[in-house]
Amino acid sequence: MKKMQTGGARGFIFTVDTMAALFVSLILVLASYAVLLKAVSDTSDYDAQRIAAAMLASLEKDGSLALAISTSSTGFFAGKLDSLPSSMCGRLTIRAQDNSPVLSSVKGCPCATQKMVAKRSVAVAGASPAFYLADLEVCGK
Amino acid sequence: MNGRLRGFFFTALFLGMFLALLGFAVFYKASAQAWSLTVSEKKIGTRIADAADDVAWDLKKLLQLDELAVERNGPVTTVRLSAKMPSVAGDPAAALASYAAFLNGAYSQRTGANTTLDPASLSAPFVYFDYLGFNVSWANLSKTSMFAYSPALEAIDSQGRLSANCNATGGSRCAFTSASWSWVPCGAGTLNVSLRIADRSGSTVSINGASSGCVTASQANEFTMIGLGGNMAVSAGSVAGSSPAFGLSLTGALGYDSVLSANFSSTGPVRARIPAALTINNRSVGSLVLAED
Repeated sequence: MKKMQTGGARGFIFTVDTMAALFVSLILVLASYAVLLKAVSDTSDYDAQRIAAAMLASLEKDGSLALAISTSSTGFFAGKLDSLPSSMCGRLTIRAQDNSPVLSSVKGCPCATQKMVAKRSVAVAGASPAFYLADLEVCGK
Repeated sequence: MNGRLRGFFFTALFLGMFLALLGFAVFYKASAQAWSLTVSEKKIGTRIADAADDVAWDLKKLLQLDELAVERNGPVTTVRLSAKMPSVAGDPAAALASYAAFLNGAYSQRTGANTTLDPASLSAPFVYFDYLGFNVSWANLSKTSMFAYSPALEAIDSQGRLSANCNATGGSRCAFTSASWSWVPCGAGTLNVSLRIADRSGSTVSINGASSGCVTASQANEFTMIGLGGNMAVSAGSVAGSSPAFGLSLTGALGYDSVLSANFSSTGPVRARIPAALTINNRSVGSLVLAED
């Protein structure tokens, strides 16, 4: 095994093979860190989507979405979006079956990129029941 | 320690560090991959659960089950069901078909849940509870009649327990109260009622000598059906038993805009389900949970 010594110094001794080993292990550590970071990011996205799904479900079950549709007013759910975590922004849009937006409300900053979306159907019962699709986009501030 | 030995020592040390780092790297990578797999599996699972909950809630609205709740207080589970009868939809079958088309089309595509619902599976809807097989059913989507039934009660007749069925048809109410109930002459302000109550031997028991007739609206609104352990006796419009070893109590009126509540003595969880031929992400969902506790 070849050894390299600098100026006869007696302190640190680095050999070519150990430096190469360190270099390779550094690459491996960085690669695994990148993979791990993605996994953590996936988990964060999943958590954000669960929050959005739970928020949307509660808005449907307390009747807010159906009331908003029947009265064409976002007032029934706009304020409730504030209960999203303070670090999150959200945009709730109710769409008709042809995907055209019927109602929309935003909490905080608009979600331009890196957003998670939860979707839920909304049935408005009556003599002629109608069906809509609500989607809630959430993102970090 | 001479230079050669020191060199060997450092080489061995660095080699050990390399192996340790390699070990960590392999562990991190394996963990990350397992984590990612778990997250993707969770996403699939929650997508199915979310879609099932979504459809269940929509069906609850479409069937106008205004209230369907299961609550537990100690050993007693109370089930409350409030339903509009008949259906307020002009054409309930067409409304359900329209919902199924929405679910199988736009909803399926935009949520990625790949849902399919066969509306025929809900043409005669019923809600059943995971306790004694108790269920409430409607003959059709128009909901002009409602039927409350527990086959388990009949099944345990041999143990001295009551079998009780209550059937309301054609806009009539099904009523049987334990205290103030009595037949009244039919006419304005009265409701036609038919009863089918069988004792433990299977014999039909009549109330005050009749199994159908008319009652006042207030009497119907005090609907109570009580199953009691031991021998059953009927007198003066009431049911009395020797000891309430087992009890099924329905309170409210089974009828138009009616409320039904049932108290069960149950130690296990009770769920209210509605059967439907629904698939989500190519997985069959046989029944949808409407309420549970």
